[in-house]
Amino acid sequence: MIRYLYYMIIMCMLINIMLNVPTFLIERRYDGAVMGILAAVVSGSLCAVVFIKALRQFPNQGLPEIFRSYLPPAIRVPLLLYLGIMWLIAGLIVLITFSRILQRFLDPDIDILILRIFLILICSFLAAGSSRSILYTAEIVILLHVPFVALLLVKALGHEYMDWEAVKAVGQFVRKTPDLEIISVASYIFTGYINMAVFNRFFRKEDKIRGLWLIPLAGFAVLFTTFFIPIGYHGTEGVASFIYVWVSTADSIRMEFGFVERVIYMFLLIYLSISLLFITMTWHVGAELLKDVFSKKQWAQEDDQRFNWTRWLICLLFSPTCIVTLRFLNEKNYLELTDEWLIVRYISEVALVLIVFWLGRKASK
Amino acid sequence: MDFNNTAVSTLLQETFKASNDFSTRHTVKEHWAVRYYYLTSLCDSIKLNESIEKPLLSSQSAEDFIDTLLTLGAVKQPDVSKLPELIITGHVVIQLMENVFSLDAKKSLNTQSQEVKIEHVLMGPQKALSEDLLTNINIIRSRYQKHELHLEQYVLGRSSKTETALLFDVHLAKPHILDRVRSKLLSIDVDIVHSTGQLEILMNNRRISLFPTMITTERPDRIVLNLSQGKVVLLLQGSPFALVLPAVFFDFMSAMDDLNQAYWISTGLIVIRYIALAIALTLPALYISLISFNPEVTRIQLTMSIAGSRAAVPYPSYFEVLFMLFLIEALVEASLRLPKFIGSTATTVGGLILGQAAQQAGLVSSIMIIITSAVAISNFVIPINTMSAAMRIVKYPLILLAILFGFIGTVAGMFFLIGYLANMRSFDEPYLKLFLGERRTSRPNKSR
Amino acid sequence: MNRLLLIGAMILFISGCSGFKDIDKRYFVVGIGVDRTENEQKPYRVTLKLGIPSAKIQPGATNKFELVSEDAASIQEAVRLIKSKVDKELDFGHAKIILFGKTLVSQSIREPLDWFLRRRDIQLIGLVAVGDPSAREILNTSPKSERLPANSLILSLAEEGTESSYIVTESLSDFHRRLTEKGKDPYMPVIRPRNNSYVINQAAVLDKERMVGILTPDQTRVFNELIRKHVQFEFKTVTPKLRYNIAVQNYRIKYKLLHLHSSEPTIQITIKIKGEVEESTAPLFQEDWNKLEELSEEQMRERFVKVLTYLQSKKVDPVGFGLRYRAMGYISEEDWEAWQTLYPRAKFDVRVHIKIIDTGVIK
Repeated sequence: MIRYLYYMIIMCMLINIMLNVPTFLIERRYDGAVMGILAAVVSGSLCAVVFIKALRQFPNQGLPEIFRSYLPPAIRVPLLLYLGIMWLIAGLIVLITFSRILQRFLDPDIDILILRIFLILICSFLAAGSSRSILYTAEIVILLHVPFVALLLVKALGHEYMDWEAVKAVGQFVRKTPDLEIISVASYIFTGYINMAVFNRFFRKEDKIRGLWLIPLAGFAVLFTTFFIPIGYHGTEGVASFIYVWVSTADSIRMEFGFVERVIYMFLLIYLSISLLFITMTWHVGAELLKDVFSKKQWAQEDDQRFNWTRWLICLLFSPTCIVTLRFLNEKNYLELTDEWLIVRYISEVALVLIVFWLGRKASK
Repeated sequence: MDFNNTAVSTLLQETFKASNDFSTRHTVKEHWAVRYYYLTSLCDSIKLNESIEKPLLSSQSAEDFIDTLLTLGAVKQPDVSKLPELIITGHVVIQLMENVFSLDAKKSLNTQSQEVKIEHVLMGPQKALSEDLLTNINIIRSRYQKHELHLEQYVLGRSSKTETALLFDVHLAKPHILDRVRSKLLSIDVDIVHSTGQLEILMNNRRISLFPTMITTERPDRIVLNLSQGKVVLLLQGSPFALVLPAVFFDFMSAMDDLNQAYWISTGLIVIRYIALAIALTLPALYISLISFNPEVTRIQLTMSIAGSRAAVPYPSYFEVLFMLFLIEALVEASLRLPKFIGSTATTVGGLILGQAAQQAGLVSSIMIIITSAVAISNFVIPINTMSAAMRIVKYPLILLAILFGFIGTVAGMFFLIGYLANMRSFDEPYLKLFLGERRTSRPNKSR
Repeated sequence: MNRLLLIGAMILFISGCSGFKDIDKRYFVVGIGVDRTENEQKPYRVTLKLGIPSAKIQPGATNKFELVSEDAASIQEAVRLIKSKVDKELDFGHAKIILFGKTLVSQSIREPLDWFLRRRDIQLIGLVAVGDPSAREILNTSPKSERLPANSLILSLAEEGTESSYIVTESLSDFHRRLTEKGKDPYMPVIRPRNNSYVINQAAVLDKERMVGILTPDQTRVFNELIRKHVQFEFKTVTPKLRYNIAVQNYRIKYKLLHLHSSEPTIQITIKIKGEVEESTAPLFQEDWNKLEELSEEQMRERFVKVLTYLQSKKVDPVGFGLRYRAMGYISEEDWEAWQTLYPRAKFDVRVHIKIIDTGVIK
């Protein structure tokens, strides 16, 4: 069962591109992004390890059940409400960004609203399914796509156009101290573990957690590639001129011997699946947390139904409301909003980790 | 005593007066008389001869004859009203003075096991199940020689009264699955049950379903393999197929050949099978996406030659795709229904001549002909027929999504398919799930 | 309920479905050319090479194309005007060849380039080149062996077909990088028409704004060896006694910036070459190979120094010495300004090490 934890983490590591993380970091490449990446590796892995270890005190229990037994309703309800909405927003940001990318690079004539409705229908339907099913889906999707992502990265790193001098030049800025914003954005890479909030329900006491030391290593590798490959391809200066820097980077890589010569299409289609998976999973977790606010009785293993109307309605009603509100924002406002969300997320995440850590100490006594 | 006699004879005569195959025999021997009734169509004359006529001739007394009858398996029937029922199920009712006996003399047809017709393997057993339940149980028991193999019998169908056998290894089968199967079998309430496919639908309880959640197989080796993996097998009288459950997605993609081949050969074949599945599902949808949404995906050299071959086609791409796919589906359906001798003619006419002509007439592009044949061939690579039929249907929703959203629709559709299958359960077993490093209970395991 | 929702969604999708355009309703732009006109009002002449697909592919017969040109004040306007001239939707997705006229490049490249970068459907792996005398003339050529329109240009520029040490290749993405990068300057191959075919054996070097010079074919080869790491090339050595050519399979170039704070900053370039003799006017086998190597090294050194000083005199730095300088830790603005004065007076110290492996099949 424990391998599913790593799928969640890998998923979040891959999805950073859609959450504007590389663009933000590259914008700040001269003001501490390099150091920020290193700081984020420390902070992110620390959060991950503390959270996962603390949850071991509560086998077969999700966050709602833990809160129910340790926190008074006055705290529990607003906390769950807040967390649930944060999760739903995470999926929504990816949905909005990615539908925009798809419209721009794959299908410029499509009505973006229709495309969003289509993606919302698919994701909300799957998010309403059972939690276990979502883990199974995650495994299949991740294992199907990671080889292609790896191939892409290896290809990118070994390509003639990759300019290591530019990477070194930016690396020279390592001494600049990062601010909170950079660390919060960069630490997004590690956030995958937080989905354990709900999926911990299926992790039994006897499941051994192994390989936690891989998290900082993998996180560092991902942050390094996500930040430095675009720099290697577009130069220290040119890299800042792209809005979706990774899509443009993928467009700069050529597969001489591939069936599809333009890597950008492979990239977009791989990320379509990964984004859909991310949206489905975050919405599932968000809706599951919100559902618990309204339900009277404690969750039990057999409540993991194959289709849950409450969850479906939460996802289905939440997203259109937000999309309608977002219609008033242009791309610039929207991207700034994403960055701010990432910062709020970091603070809430650290707070949540501390709460769970404290509850874990309480439970072990 | 005499009263009893006439009661039986009138009851039976009355019940079967419209049936010309009802026969009554009367034999008088010195001071005792025997009268027996049966349906000539159901009873085996050799059995009758062996178990009634011969003992009758050799018996010295009535008591002697009764002893012989009882040894041969006759049952004393105190209740007269049950007799018509017994006659219908192929028994002989024997009336000997004041006693009434019944003896099973059913003529079994098709006790011979047949050649494998659907699930061919290259190397491996070549005999399939027969149409006789007892023969089938015999085949299975002789291949699975463990006393843990339990057998429960049920009778399904108000009119057909089909005998059904539930087989499982009591140590390996999961009790909660058994309970569910039993309760489902008892709850079946229909007139006629005569095929495993029908039984599957009845047990599914779902009005609309697409993907099979139980394997229908004709291969005894597959049945035995599945028994050893803790699965439950249902056999039906008169059907040469068995129903194996629970079944997960991977079971449908495994052929029995996988066990007979060296590791790398069978792994390679399995990989090929999954690639074929992907082709059968997505190729038409990808073609539409490429032609109508993003022709820049392929290399310019290929794009230009596709554009050239499509230049004469006046209709949008999906018309072309649906037209060709309809033809190929019709061809498959037709060659199934046609007698064997005409079948090959149909394929030649349909496949070769029609495809060629359609392309020359400018109705479809030559690339489309390649795609259609690739899809048709790939589809038949799926080993279990029910799954291959389901996949034949699934490609159409994907085509629809491709018409609406191009590549986005195709990939999102595939994602949805994976999510949907992962959300399915076959008797509480996850339907689509990777079993990395877990005990493999539900797919062929070579180590066993 | 479920089915009603499904049908509702379908109707909604079908009504909103757009972007569906069949491949035969599209006109594929296989090459874009931008030239400078004399007219100040309409300075840009945009030429599109539109491929005409054919059902059966034959060399020389199926490379049919249509060439459409239009003058306008901006590229976008010109494209819009061209759209009204053709009957199908223009599809830029396959515009692999992007040519700029020589006159345009000599004036300014930045402004016309913006359109190419901003458009989502122009591929960043597209190949840029200078058309001499004009981009239109290059696009109008169709070599005899060509199977598809513009295919021979693609094959030679993308190095899918021929791999010549005279051909430098440059992608749009790399060009944009060099145009913006501090310390690495852009270049482009120059294509000239000749007898219904092309000659690509020169390179144009640019500063951040315009072309500053064109290298001769021989300089282009040295330039190519400097810029890229995987070129196969050969060079000849002439001695009073004999002349021999060495073919190089692999070589390594390393460079170092030395004495940056002294009065004589030095760029030290070390080249290690392994090669075999492919042609000679006299038997070589019995000669002293070390001597031969020395002779070649000397002549090779001269070739490199000549090109490097030429680039230096034009104040351009396509090799990326400036970027190396920054990568060494000189990252502040002052450092960068120091480099601007440093580079023009830097001395080149080229060290060539040649190793002759064999003399071919004969002695």
